Amino acid sequence: MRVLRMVAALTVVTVVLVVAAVPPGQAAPAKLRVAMILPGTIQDADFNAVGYVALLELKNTLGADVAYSEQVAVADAERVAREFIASGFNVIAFHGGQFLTIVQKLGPAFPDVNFIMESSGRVDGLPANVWNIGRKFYQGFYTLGVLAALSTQTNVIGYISGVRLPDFVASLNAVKFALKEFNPRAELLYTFVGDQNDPVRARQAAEAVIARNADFIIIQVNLGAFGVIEAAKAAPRKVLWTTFYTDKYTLDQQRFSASLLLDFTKPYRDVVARISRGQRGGYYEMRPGAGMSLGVIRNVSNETKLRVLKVFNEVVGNTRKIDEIIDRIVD
Amino acid sequence: MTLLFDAQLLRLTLIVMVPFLIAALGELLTERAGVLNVAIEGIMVVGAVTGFLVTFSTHRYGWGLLAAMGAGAAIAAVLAYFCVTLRASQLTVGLGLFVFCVGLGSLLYRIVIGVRLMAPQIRTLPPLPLPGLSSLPGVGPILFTQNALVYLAFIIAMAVSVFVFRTSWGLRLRAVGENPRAADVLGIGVFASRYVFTILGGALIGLAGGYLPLGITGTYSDGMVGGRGWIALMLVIFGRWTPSLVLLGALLFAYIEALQFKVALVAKAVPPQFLLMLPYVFAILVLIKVYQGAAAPEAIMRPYDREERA
Amino acid sequence: MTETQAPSAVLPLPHRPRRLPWERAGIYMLGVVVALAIAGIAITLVGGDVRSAYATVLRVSLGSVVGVGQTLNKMTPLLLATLAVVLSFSGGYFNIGVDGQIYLGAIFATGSAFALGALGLPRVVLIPAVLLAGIAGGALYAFIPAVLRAVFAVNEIFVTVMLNFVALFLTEYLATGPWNDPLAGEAITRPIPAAATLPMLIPRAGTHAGILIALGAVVVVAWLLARTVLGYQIRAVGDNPRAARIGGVPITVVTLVALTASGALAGLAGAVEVSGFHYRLILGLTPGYGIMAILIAVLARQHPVGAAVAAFFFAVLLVGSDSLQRSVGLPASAVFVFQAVIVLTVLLAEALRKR
Repeated sequence: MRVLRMVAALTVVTVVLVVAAVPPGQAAPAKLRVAMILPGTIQDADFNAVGYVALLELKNTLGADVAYSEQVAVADAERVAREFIASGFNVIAFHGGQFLTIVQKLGPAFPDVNFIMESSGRVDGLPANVWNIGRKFYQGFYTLGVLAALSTQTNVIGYISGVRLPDFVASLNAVKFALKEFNPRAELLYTFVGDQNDPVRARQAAEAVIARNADFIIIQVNLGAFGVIEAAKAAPRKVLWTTFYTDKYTLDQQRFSASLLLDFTKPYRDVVARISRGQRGGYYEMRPGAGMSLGVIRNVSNETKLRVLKVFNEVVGNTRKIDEIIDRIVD
Repeated sequence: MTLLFDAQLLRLTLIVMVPFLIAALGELLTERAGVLNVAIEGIMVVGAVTGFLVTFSTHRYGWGLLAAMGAGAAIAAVLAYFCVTLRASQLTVGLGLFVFCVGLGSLLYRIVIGVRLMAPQIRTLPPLPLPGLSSLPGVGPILFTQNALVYLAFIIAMAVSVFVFRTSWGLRLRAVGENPRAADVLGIGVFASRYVFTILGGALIGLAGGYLPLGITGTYSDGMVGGRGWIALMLVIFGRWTPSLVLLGALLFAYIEALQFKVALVAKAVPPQFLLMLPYVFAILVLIKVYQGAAAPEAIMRPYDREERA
Repeated sequence: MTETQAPSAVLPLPHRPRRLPWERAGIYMLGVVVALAIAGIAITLVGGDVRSAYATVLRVSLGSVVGVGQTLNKMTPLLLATLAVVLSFSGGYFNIGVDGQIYLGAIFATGSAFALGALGLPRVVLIPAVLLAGIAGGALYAFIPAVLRAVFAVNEIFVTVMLNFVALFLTEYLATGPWNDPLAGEAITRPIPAAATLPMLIPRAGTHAGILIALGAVVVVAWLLARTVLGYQIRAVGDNPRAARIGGVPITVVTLVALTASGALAGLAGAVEVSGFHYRLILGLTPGYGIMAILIAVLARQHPVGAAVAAFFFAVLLVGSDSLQRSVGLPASAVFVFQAVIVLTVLLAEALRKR
């Protein structure tokens, strides 16, 4: 009974507080209002930071009202999205593919709101008010594979990836295809460290490939990259490396080779512009030439640079096709 | 055999063992005094961020490491106030502080560094060749050319071991953790001891956190501690509250972890996640083998109250 | 060293004088008010509007049907995880592996939904089957530390923490490997069949029926601990293991049952999250519910009904304070600091009151 009294009293207190504090609800304005939900912190100088930059760009170029929520766990994302919708946001962007279920739930529930999500390809049966941005990493990683094939002296190339996602498997296969074509003698040593953002584990994995004679490492972890970069610095020979998402040249100017830059500003600007023209949903592919570019190539010969750029442009222009194999690692 | 033992593998084991060992030794001192510090993972986060930020702005490793220790000590002092003076639940206060520290670490970085597209970086601790040993043919340059903290970790382990088991102060510490009432009767300051060793332990845990950016990555990122504090907490149990066994446990765990990455390059038929489980499964199996009812200090998690009747 | 001492005495809970729940609630409220005042000063310092910030906190968590509905969704896994902790702590067993058991429950639930859903079973059969599978998954996973503790006297804290890491890798394997949804580009599985999903309780608010299951579990655990011989024995072991042993309590059986049942509740939480909310197995399914559950359980003095009340207020705290990101523009990390300060001031108020 004491417990019941406690519950009753706390409920009364709560209700009083709510009644006293709740301001009148707001009406949704017609203006473009974009809210982004990010899975990590925007201070990561990586995946979440580039998403945040894309959001700011929407404000600058399209004059949209923008807001964001960072470090949102999947379990909380639906609630956060509903909060944004309730306070009048009409475009809700989910920065990542783990929010798929939530988009499928909220799309039909809020037919007047537009949703943007990211994935690694076309998703069937998405609601009509959902834009899906598909990221095709493997096409960019193919080019990094070419760079590695042409640059290695020891003919041993390391590949440090994180979670064994299908598009990362496809990227690994693409690198293998590049090696087969441009340097068949080169051996590829790959590891999945089980975490995109654990630099200590990534360093351990990198040290293991360096101990096996690797002199070029393709990095496919996010914040884990810091560990790989330190391992390369500590190596007994010069070890070059490449990264993705952001340019990490400043972290080691002697060993940085290239970065596959992911620029979400273009996809987001294009998608939101189409939304404001009334195109409520669709598929947008992020690939070389569309939100995916090769940063300045460094620390390799001019000849190598030119060959790599030529390949990249062929991928951009679709004159060079790369197989997308997601379910197994080819030999 | 070359798969299981080579100099590179041992070198990596040593580098990665350091945070486990130093943090576990800090926790050991704390627990020996009868206080359980479950904020250890959070204190390592705060140690990592202060160590990084101070080294980044002063360009001095010494200041960075001292700051990491100071931050760890400060958080531990809060824990001591709650758990020793106020006799609050060590488990809840520790977990509350854990959440606090994880937020605080990230927040400090946001305030000082902000949102950037290029991560700021410090140089990692330079290798320090041990005179004589480092010129041994073969293994010398690899094993005995480590950064200073690797050697320091071993020295701390020895010092803690000697202190706890070979000095009268150590005897008093154990008395405080095992039977605070008897210790009090003998004139040992129970409250003072618990404060001192909780704070000292916190300083070591902070140092372990500071080692991550200074010794391994050169940068700070949220989540970089990655559960290593929890592992250190486990190593104290694994080591049955004795420094030498904690050292052995830390070496073993770091070795299996390093070995696993080596095996992963060869064993392609096994899904990588199962290899990644190895250190944890291995630790459980070893514990079943070695655990024969070793117990925590008797008075751990029990606040001491002078007036309370036994 | 005290190597001869019985392992069951490892990390006992501090004994405390009993306090009226009513009085305790008052202390907790005081702590919350103090914390809000501290945070209010901080918000003012960064240039935020305290009144509107706190108004938003209440509006999003309790001020509308949708807010309450979402708070209940958040409360559901928290409450089930807390009950898991309550059950094990009552016997003096420290199950720190609730998060791992949640994952195993989610794995079993997802697997059974795939397997049984393919048979085209109706919803009335499929949903209970999926929930039972989750219970079994969590229970089996907790059975490992239970046996190691009961038979080999191995510290259950150690084993449960280590198994948390193992569960994460197992989830990652399934979510990126055999069950992966290749198009999402993340560690998530294909969706489970619609017939295996829990019905909505408040469709407009997106509230699923999981909260009813959690409240049902409160009744079961309360009855088990207060009204059954087993419950009495669990509490006896928790209060004083030596006396319980002398009194003829079968310690081995109690250990096995208490820890396994605790894991079963955690597994149910995982199954409810899959079947009610995610409709898939997802890496990141539990953002540390097991740790929060320990806090809630100790604040609620390991009382199942108290756990329900505390879990509700904890959910309000998490949901409400998270809105400060949007209303004041605080970084997420500042919100975590804010939440921790509230918990710590509550503990401080309680500890000061006790002196």
